[in-house]
Amino acid sequence: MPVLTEDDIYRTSTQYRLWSFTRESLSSLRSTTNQSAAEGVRAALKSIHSQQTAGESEGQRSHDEVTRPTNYLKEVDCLSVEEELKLVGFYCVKTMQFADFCEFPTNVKATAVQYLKRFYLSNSPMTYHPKEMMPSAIFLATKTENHYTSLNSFVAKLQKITAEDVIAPEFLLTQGLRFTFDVRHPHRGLEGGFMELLALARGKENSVPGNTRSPGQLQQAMMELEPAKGGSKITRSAEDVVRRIQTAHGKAKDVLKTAALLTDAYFLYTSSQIWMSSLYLTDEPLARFYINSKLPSPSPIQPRLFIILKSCADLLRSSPSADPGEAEMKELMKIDKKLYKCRNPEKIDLVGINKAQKREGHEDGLDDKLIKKRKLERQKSEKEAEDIFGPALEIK
Amino acid sequence: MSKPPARNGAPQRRPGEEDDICPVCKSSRYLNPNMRFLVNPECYHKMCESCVDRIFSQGPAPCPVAGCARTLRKQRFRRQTFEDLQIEREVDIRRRVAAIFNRRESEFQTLRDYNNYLEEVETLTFNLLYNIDVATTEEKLASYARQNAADIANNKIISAQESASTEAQIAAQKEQARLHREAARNEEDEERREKEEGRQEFINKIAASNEDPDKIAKVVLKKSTARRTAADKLRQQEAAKVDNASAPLFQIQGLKPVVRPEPQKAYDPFGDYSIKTQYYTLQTQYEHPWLENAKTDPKITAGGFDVGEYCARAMMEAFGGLGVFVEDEVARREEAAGADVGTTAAAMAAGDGKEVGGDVL
Repeated sequence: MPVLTEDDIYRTSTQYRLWSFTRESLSSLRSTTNQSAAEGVRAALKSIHSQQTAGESEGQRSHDEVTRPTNYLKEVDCLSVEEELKLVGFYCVKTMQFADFCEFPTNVKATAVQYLKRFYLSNSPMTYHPKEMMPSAIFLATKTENHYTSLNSFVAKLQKITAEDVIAPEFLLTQGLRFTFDVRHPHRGLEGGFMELLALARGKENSVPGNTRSPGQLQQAMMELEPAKGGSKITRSAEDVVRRIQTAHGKAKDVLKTAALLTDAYFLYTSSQIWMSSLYLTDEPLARFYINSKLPSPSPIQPRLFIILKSCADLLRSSPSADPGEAEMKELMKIDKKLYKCRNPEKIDLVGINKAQKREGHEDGLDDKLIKKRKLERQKSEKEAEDIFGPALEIK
Repeated sequence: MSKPPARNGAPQRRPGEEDDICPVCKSSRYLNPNMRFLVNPECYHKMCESCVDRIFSQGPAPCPVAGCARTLRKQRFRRQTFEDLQIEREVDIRRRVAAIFNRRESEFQTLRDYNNYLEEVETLTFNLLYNIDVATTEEKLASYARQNAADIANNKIISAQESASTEAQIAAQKEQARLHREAARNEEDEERREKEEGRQEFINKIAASNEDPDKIAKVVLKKSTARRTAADKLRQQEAAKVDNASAPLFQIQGLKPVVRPEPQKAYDPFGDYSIKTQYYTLQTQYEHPWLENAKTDPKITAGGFDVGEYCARAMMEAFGGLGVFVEDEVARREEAAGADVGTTAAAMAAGDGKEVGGDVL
């Protein structure tokens, strides 16, 4: 009879199968995405330019065209990978602010941010502007996280955005997400760990398979832990320990709500490692004690796990602020301005593209003749279907 | 004497009725145009209907044909099916043998075994047909029928299922149930009779002797139980003797061992997988400031919210993947899948295939 451990169960998740990367593969994926997007932008601009020059030969040369240098196309200044990352990061912050404004729960907020992050692994802001994807990501997250919000009430909270704008990029987004909507968040895991730590502190039976120490011994060991950095007091009683755990829990929760979302932690580590390292970040001795009690010393994975937790904690510490300062905002404005010049002109009108892809898309996107032809064909086939003797036989 | 009617002009008669004179009473068709001839499968001697009525109405009687003298019953007289009485007899015998030896080809390991079996059956049939060793053959037949009663019944049912409709099946079942009931009733009667006998004996004894009635009752009771156990024992012994004695009488080689279908296991929705946690043991109760309310608030519990489920999920998420080192495992995975496949797959999924590297990215 096959036996599954927690790790095996995690390995079945799409987060592990499709959305876990090494640092190298993550950066190479981003640069590939950036390059191909830049090529796309150049190709699109070129085709537009050639159309316009064709128009110019008929003598409609505008002043603007004349002033442009001929090698303009080759020098389109595209965004670099870092600039793209910053821009996406900024819109992640925006997403969080908007979710807070709408009073969406944490899981919706976190999922929406992860959707944006996942989407921009294989798509570039030069192709699809994050500002347009953001409402769609949040709206999709309300649906996948089972927090029902009607489209109308959602749009009512947004300014200058219509229901069409929210819906149009949705399929694109789901494609970018590779149709995997499940995000394994560390939040509930933190609560689980918190519950168990509380039980340990109160000296309750909470043994790990393979643990030799009694609950009383564990409780005593907890009391003797050295205080965390950043001024927690020396713990003398079980109540002190409980208070310490509660403080660490509160801080860790804040880390998970912001830093963990804004960094690449979800791509590089598993959700349980993320919450563990948020605990490590806020109260290192406690986290070390907890892991030691879980994995008694001669454990094959314990040293490796500490290295992982440390690197993850460093990553969380280096997270961009959830509240960008003025200098940062200035830089972002600069990036946005640059983006204005290097956006892919074919992909700006998402609503139009969406309409054109749908049936009866008689907007500008499709050729009028083609639409008319299809319509005639459809009518003809309907008429034939109604005919009592069926459609005419085809002679081959 | 009147001339027999010309064959061509005569009405079509059943086989065996072309004769015009009954061999027993010598009455002719001329006198009785509706004369019908009957045979008894006991000896296959032909006689007319009025002879059967006359001789056998009073019960079993010896066959009137000279030199036969078998005891016949009226009930078993029937019209013959085939013109030749030899064939009539052969068909009857074959039908009887086939009802007992009704093994199917699928029961044998090889075709050769099946053919050997058929040949042995044919030998038995032949012996019966030509009256060679009839006694031993009959014994073989009977012993085989006794020993393989279950198989025979089974095969009979299978062939019945194959040939007959469901209605016929239901009828067969009813018949079987009736037989069961009859057997049970017989047993009951037997018991009652025995009891009655015991009582009678008891009364007789009391009448004949001056002993204490209780003592006599005990003796009688003991006697009756002793008789019953003796009868049981005798029956068992007889059965054992019959089986032991007749074991070598008729044996079939190469029968497939009967494989009883295994009883179905209980359905397991997790396909035989079980979960064994390695980092924690789930407790029945956890303490959490959030959950205190949820445990008791009817607004929450009425909807079916189970705090235990939440705890189990939280613990699973707390440790699921703790020992999964993405850095190593993903690197290994990518190596195994060949360089760059991961990124290509991501790109493929993002775009609609043909546009990869084009304007989608």
